[in-house]
Amino acid sequence: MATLNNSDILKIAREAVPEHIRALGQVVTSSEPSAPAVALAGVGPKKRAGAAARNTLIADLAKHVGAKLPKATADVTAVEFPEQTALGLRTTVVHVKNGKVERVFKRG
Amino acid sequence: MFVICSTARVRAKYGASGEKVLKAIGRLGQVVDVSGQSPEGIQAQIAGLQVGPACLIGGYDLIPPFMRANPTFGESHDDDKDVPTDAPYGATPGKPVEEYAPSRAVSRIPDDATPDAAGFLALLAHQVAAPTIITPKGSFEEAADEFAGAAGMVHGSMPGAVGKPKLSPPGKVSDAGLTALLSGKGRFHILLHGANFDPDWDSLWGRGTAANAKFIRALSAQLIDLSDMRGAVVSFSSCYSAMLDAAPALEGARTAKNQVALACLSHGAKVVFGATRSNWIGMDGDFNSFGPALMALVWTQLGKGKPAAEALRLAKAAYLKVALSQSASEHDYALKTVLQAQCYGHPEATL
Repeated sequence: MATLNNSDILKIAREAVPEHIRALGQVVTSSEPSAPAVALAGVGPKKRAGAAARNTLIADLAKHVGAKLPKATADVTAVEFPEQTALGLRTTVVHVKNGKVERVFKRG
Repeated sequence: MFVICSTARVRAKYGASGEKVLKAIGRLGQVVDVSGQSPEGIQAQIAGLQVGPACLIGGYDLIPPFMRANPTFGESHDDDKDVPTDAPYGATPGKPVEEYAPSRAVSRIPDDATPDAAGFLALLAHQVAAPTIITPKGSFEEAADEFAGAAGMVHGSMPGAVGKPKLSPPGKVSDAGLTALLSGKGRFHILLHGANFDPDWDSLWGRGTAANAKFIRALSAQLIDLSDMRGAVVSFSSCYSAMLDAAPALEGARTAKNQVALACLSHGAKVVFGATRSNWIGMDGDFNSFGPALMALVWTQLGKGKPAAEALRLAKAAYLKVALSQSASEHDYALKTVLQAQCYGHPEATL
């Protein structure tokens, strides 16, 4: 499958959300080489250490509950549709993987 | 069952009524006095007890929660910096994984519902009887339109559920017949929106799917205040439904007048499940993800006859087993989901 660029991914994600928030979409993590990976921006040694501790926790927790962690596969790209509401920001998140919508979710 | 109580704080808070309150607390089970202990000290004391559920007595002023960093803070505009949680009280000290999948069932009976000893004594009377009270037949389910799929998924796991979840209806205290819909029912699942600021936190909110749909006040503590929920088992997938801390409060502490979980307990509910912070809700596919997935598993365990706090403990482990096997991009969301899920009420109450 050809590598999708952010524009392609945004188009896929928009199809998964209500029409009135489609224009709000923005790609926030991407495997696209030329695109800035916002989630990793500014990660220094301290944050990397935090990420390592978190990965250890996940591995230990998976063992504890009998979960089989997924194999490393193609990156998931997160597309967010931040909607300012009377109850605060209620952002709809779309995870896109291999050109398909993997999950759509938001805070209640 | 072990009743975890700071007797010194109870005496200090309730003054002349302190001994009477302690006597009522003693009817719940074997009292373990944790006076003067930090949360870490209480955790170590509980870990040294024999097998059995632990029931924390009182609000955060009597037994403080653990405060943990929110695993999804800053992700997708999640502004919950910390997560108050009782889960570490069910963990072995030094084993962080048990804060997410505890080894001991834990619940809390908050005393915040009313500001006086008489109110807490009345709540304790309900709770002492809770394990022997038969759950009434019938159910009440309500969700925001945009969460209809997730509400339907939980509905499918709720033993004895009847009808379908109500979607985004306006619910005013003055509406005729509305309290009759709630009163006398035994099973509740609510998936409305929630707020973490006053005065809007006294309500849960419906919302349609139309463009720029406004939030609709759908269920409020005041409405529950007029309802009879004796013997009910209640689950919330809503944001902030089990939030007991008040900052930044403008109008005082959380009570049954402005907090839906406390309102349910003070009106006779045996047990309430909810989240202290904002819940993530799946919006597509089988909707079996995040907060609603956990609540569906709680109902599954309750349907097997498991006691309330044990049902939540088992549900957390079962949820994590599935969630951690799925995409790594969702793992932090799964951690938040289990960390903030709490059980309020008698740990041995059953469906």
